[in-house]
Amino acid sequence: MKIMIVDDSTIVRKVIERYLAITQVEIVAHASNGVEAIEMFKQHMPDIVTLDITMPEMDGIEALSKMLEIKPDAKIIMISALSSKDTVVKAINLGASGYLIKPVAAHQLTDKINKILEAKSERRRFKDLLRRRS
Amino acid sequence: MKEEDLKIYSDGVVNYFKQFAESKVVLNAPALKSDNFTFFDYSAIIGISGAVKGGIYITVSTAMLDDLIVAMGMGAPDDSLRRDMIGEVANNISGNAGDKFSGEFKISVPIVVTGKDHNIQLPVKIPAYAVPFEWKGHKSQFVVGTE
Repeated sequence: MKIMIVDDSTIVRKVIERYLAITQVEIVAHASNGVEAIEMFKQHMPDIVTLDITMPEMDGIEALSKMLEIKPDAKIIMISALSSKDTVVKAINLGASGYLIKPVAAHQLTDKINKILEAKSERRRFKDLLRRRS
Repeated sequence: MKEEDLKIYSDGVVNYFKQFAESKVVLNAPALKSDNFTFFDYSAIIGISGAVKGGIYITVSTAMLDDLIVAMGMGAPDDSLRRDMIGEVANNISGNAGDKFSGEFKISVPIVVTGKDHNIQLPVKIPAYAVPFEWKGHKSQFVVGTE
């Protein structure tokens, strides 16, 4: 599974990268704002994205909508310091697969990633089963 | 600004530094920001809009930022990492306050100011409160001015 990390902070991107080292994902791209994120998304078509909200040029909410238009089954995990209910609800309603509030602990992110990986693997098993039965 | 509102931001500072298990943050008594307020080497400002309007800024020393960068496992600190670090601290403190206020709560990207004798004036007509705090012996302050 391919993952892209989007955050305007170099430090946060590196911390997330470190957290992901123990998961079964391949980091294919980084971006520091929404505009760059969309370009990188089109180029790499990642399965999972960790996406900050407050960023220059284009915020994470707008980038979330655009990414899901391009690849509706992409799993987008919002990682933001913004904890207001309005923002969380807006992101989830737009199709975000999760919302983690900064500062994020390693286990919070890896748990979320592992659940996405398990669900994907479960769907694959189910499809295989259906194929064998038909 | 009410006292409980100020506590929301103070809790944000405590919450941010919780991730560094080896050293807790110590908050001191808040006071109205005075004219002889001490700015340290780096300051980061966040504008707040929506249901709450105003801003928050944090000012810290180079030494504190360097310790934070090392604590984050980022290796040798430099000016770019220090700017990034202080911006992220300010972003966390202000952003985390959002769930305590009803209605829309928006924050800007951080603006970082450095250099000798820099100064910041929040664009609000109400008094701003300064909260001194210490982490690993480094003195620092954050200022909140909201209406």
